[in-house]
Amino acid sequence: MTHISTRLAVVSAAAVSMLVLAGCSAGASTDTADGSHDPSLTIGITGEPANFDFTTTSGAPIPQLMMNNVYEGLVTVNQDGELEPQLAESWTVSDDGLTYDFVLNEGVTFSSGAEFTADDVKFSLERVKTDWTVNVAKMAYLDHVEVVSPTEARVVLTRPSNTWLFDMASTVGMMFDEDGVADLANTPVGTGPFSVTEFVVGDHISLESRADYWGEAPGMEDITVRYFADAVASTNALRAGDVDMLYDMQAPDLVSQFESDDAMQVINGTSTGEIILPMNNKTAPFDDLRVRQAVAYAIDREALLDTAWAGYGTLIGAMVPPTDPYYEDLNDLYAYDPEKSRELLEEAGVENLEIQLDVPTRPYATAVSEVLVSQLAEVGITATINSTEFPAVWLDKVFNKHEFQASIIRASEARDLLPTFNVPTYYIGYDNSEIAPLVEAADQAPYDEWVEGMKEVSKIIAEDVPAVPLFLFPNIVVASADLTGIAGNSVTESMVLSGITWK
Amino acid sequence: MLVLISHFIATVLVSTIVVFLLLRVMPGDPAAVALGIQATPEQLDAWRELNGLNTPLVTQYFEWVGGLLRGDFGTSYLSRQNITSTVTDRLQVTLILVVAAMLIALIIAIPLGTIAAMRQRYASGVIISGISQLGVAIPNFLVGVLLVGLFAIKLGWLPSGGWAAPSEGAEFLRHLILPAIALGSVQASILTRYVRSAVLEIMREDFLRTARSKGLTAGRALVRHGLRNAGIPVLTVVGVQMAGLLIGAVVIERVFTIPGLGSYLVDSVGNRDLLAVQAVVVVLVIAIVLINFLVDLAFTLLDPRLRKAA
Repeated sequence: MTHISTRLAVVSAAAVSMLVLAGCSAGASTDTADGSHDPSLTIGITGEPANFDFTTTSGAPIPQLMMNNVYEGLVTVNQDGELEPQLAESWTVSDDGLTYDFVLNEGVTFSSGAEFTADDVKFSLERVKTDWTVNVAKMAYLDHVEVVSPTEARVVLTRPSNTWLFDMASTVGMMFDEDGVADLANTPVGTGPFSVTEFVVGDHISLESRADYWGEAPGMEDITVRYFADAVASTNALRAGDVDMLYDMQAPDLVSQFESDDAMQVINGTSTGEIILPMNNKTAPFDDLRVRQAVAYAIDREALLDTAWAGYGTLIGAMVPPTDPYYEDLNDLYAYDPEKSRELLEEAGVENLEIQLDVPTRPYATAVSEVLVSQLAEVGITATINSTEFPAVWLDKVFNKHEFQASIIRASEARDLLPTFNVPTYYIGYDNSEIAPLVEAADQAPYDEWVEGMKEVSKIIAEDVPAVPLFLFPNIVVASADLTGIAGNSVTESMVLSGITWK
Repeated sequence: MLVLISHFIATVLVSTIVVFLLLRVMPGDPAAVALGIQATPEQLDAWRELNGLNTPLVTQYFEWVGGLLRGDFGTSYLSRQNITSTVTDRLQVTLILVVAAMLIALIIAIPLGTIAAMRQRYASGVIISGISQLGVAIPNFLVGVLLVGLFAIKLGWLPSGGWAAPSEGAEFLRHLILPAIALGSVQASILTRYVRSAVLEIMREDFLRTARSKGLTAGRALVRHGLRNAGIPVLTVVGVQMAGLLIGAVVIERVFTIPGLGSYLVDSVGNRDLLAVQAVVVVLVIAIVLINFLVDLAFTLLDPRLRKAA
């Protein structure tokens, strides 16, 4: 008995002292002795990229990390939603709207060391139609690109398009090195301020600032993006100091603990993701406008936002975020009116309606669905929740096979109003015969007419309510109060890292 | 020996057929997940063609098994990385975690279980027994969350999650400790109870009385003559529990964000990365069969009577 217990005692004493010593040694903190910070940053996100190739793989996490950090385009969009020059110093548009002449910045290099020239512009834009499998339609109007000089590129379209230049700030406008596309999935080569140094799948991606970056040096030299499957694990990491910042945080009920903490800052930014209630416009009962309107009137969107997403987010009346130039406040179009809802249901002859609500397995969807079901019950609509595994089953059943009545989803892409409602084969099945000619005309018209035309289109769609816009999803950023320059609004799909620095 | 090997092969073979068929029957389209909402029906079909999903099931199955025999698990639909290397990396992590958890469980259970048995009529024995009862009921992820709350957040001694390679020494241990304790906590309680009952059995045996009458103290008698006998039933339980640990690792890996096999499996299922799921399941089956084999081997070491039979 004695020699076992002595051995045990010695071993446990050794283990404990090792633990204590390890704990006392330098921890995960990046603080130097005087309390100032090293130029490194650790970010926590839920949602890891499958790989680095957004040309053939879908999934918002890829451009979130890659766009504007590793890759750059000729133009970019700022925090207010306005187009700004990036790799192009300036550009002019011909009067007929068909020719764009871009003057490129000089001294730009890729992370491989190769120079960025107009040849790369031609290469990158023309390969969208031939080599990409995602977002190809955004280059539909590209005719060809001419290399006028090493720093001048001429892009010719088949017809004028106001949406095209905005799309150039998204993934399809990213510039690739002709010799750098051999292994896009694992080795991205771009002109951006950062290069990828490490990808440990399931754990983190490491970025390092480039010494040879053409533009203003980024605020951080090293950025580690850590991926968490679990929201609680990510907030624990923030509280323990293992990460400095949480981006696109998807557990708003956990945010309040940080609001009252002076060492932390909470940014309630906007995103381009609208939470919507899509309805199958091609089948009963939602092929009847009155029934869709009844659903819209039955929802108290403010109460829904407060209950389901702790009030973080913006109320919208159409699937258009406030950062879009043709945004209008249409919140009063279908203001909460359960009485009106019941009237419409009676008029349509569908009292005591029973519907299936396909709810994807995502935190926002499950949170929203509970509130929706009770609000719909108030007007006599019995909605049964059908939990649909996301992405595999939801994409298959609802999106591709259109086997659904109503669902809840986040329409996360920027400017997705038209791809969603101007395409009659899309899963919602909205009849676009009225808006199609208006869209055609507006896209080819001068800018101001385009804005007016799009406002009209948005209003028509909002009035027809093929899907009820519930709220604009927030981009919640929780970070150390010592950080500054955080781009809190997600105006394209990108998480812009270059401006972040320690105070 | 030949029987064992053919048994092993048969088990793995059946498991490959089962997992292959199950994944093909499950709702959800791998093409849709990989290509997302931009994909046209033509693109979806082209993707399926590219990844060999349009060929007859039998062909797909034999192609896959052929690859398995060469040690090639295929390429992941989503990450485009070689699955064999991913699985190998992840398996190392999970194995380390599981072995560490089992070791911690044994280090706690053997002494505590023995004390509980020897002191069963005293307060200390009853208390240990009671705590082990509680320990079985508390789920391992709750233990994990509590440990993180105390040691990572409140005290800041240890990281709240993540993983460091064994080559990183102290960092590796700091990242391993909390998840290993959390994963091993339930096992420790279960094993304590098994050790206690095994030791109680042994204490009643005649050969222990003989040892006492020779002049050994109760403790010394137990150690020199008793524990090896108690080891046999406990070892059986350890073998069975290893499978449970491998599964329990899935939850712990999520709570502590550890890039192990469990989290890889869950992610791959969600993404319908069929080849990856198949690879992980086959590896897990092989691992469990091997573990049981090792347990059988350990029996022959512990019990000389079995050596003659083997």
